[in-house]
Amino acid sequence: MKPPEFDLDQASEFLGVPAWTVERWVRQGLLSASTSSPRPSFDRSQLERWARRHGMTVPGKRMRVVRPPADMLADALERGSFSIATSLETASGAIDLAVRSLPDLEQGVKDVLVREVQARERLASTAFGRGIALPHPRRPPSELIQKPLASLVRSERPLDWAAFDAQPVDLVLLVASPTAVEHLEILSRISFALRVPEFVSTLREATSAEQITTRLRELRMSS
Amino acid sequence: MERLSSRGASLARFFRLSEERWEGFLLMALVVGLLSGVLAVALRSAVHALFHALEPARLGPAGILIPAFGALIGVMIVRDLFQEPAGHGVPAVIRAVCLRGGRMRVRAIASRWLGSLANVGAGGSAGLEGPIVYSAGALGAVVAERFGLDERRRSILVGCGVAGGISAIFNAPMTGLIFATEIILAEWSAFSIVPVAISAVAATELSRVLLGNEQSFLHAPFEMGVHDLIACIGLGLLSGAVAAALSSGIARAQGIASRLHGRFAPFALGLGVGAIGLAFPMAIGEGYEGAQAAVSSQQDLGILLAVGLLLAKLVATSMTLGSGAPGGMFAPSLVSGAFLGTAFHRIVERIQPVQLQLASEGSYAIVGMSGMVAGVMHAPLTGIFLVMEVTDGYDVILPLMIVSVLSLVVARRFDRHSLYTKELASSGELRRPGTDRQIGVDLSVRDVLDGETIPVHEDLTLEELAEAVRSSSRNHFPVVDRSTGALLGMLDLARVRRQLLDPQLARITLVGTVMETKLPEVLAQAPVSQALEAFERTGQWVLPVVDDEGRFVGLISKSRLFDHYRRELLVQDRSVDG
Repeated sequence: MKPPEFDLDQASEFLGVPAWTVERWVRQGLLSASTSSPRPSFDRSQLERWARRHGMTVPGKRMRVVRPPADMLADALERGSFSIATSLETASGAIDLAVRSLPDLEQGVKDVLVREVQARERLASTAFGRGIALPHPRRPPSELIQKPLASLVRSERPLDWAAFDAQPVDLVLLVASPTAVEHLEILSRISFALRVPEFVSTLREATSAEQITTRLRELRMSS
Repeated sequence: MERLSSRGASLARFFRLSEERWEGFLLMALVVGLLSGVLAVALRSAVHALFHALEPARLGPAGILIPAFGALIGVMIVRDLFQEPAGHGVPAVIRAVCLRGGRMRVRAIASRWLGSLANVGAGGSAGLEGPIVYSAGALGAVVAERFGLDERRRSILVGCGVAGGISAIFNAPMTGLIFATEIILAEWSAFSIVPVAISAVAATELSRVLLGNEQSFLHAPFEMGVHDLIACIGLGLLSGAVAAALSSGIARAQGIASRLHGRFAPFALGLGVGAIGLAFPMAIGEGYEGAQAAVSSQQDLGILLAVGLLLAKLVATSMTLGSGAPGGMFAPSLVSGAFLGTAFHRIVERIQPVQLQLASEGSYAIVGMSGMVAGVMHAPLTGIFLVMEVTDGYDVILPLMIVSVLSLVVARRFDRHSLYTKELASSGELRRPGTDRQIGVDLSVRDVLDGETIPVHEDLTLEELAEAVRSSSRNHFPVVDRSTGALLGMLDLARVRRQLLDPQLARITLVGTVMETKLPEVLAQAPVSQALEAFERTGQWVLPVVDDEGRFVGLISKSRLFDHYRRELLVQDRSVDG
């Protein structure tokens, strides 16, 4: 069995330098490559040792950078919930309902989330305008949840949310992401989707979560 | 101090010295060489006179007390009279060159010179080379300081002193040059070799004028054949192992000494040396008479006696040097090498299957010397040249080379560093100027810190943030607690650009929600090597810096760091001559 090997491009990616730099190192005799075939190849474990000896950090050891998938909002909604409320009277009640209807979360976690989101709301309103609010915890609750969650509450009775456009809110989209990166990604996705009038109508008319996520996935991010 | 340096400046003017002129510098090398020669010749003569004066007493009933008192007095001279750390001196000179730009104190000229006179003169099993390296090196440093030389030239003058001392004490100019270059300066360029060579020549000639041009070890001519060369492979491997054993013996004796109460250690270990001296008078003191007997094939007969003498020398040396008494490793290495070569020759003669005519015992003693020097000091060139010069033994150059390199190879398997560099390496101080490791430690995070940052607070919305940082050209903002000033996280504008440019999102997004919190913090007083490591690990371009109480003090960025790094590298660059 041959040991796992890298070709030039893989070695270049592994070391985080351009391929021609790897070639130069080989040419200068700084890095040894197998040249049994016309194209150089590198023994993986040997390359790793070499990188360590020269104080480089190989990709496995670097801090993982979270790369958002194509539609993080739709995924978060699928993991979360959609409820239609008839008897809500306050913003705080809407937040409570949005958190409590999230599936697969322990009671204690929900309690903490409700407190966090309410605290954030007290700092400044999360009303987005045009009858929509985006409540969220003040700090990413990384120790409470593993993946972004979204919970949509549609209130038949519009609620006062201290919005800058003074419009009462009937759509409450609660977002909780474990990291700032994911939160930023979901925010931009929301902002984009809410600029599409048909999508906002879908939110106001939908009877199931699928209708919303399906519609959301049809929306392509355009530049 | 001020007066001193102004006098230095006027001296420099007198000699019309300037940074660019080489002639004046070479003149200083000559002066340092002559003065080191005087130091070396005086020390050697004084120690010999004392050793011989004490000889009858040492062989008398209270003889074992003499080396004990010698060690005790030697340690007291260095530690109490001159307030200097104990040890054999060479590592201290290497440290001065590595870390202090060759700066050494005036008192260093006298401390070990006097200390080793007491210790070795009384019979301590050690050499005078370590103390003379220290004393003459300090002399070079002090001369350089007087003339206000820069750190590069100061280090080279330290090397000149070292070369002069070694050259004069052995009547061996090449060895002085090689030792100073290989061990002390670790730099091979004309800029350093020329002055060091001048000093070596001056010191050697001075010692020849004062003491006569005598070769240290006399021997009958001999010729080594092919089978001798093959036998030398065995001797080379063996001497590496014996060298490693001597190093660990010294370390073990140091361990014992550190457990004994204060002043008692050198005295107690000195008693042991005295006891060995009663049984093997050849095994104590500087010991060159024993080596001379071996080299001229006149050592007392018998395999057991030869092995016993070798062991006695190794144990006595471990005790003397391990006790912290001032003394060097050259002489013990040479002497035990001569004993080793003799013992090896006798054993091979006895057990060889076919009766081959080996070269004389003396030639093996010579070859063994270079093996031990190379193995103990991890300095193959010094081992080869020293033995070649002190024995006039160019006849045995091939076996010398074989044994020196093999011995080093074996010794390095036991210990990556020599006795000289072990301590420095373990404390991370063995760094030569101009290298990446040196700069990584010389520059601290504080040096490259960007303190002019605009701190923001976590309860700002992105909309308010945009207003607050409108006039700033930076991209990274520390997020700090309003009341305590503690660092909460970092905000990178590049990462929130889309949200920042969307007025509705900017209005409902707080800085605290989207700041980066998992970044490692770098301590302001840490060396930049730590920051580099953190950059490498996280892939970030900017990291927050905190003081030792966790308060935010600024940012460190890769670009700024490399800017300073390069400047430091240019300053420390050794390839710029003159």
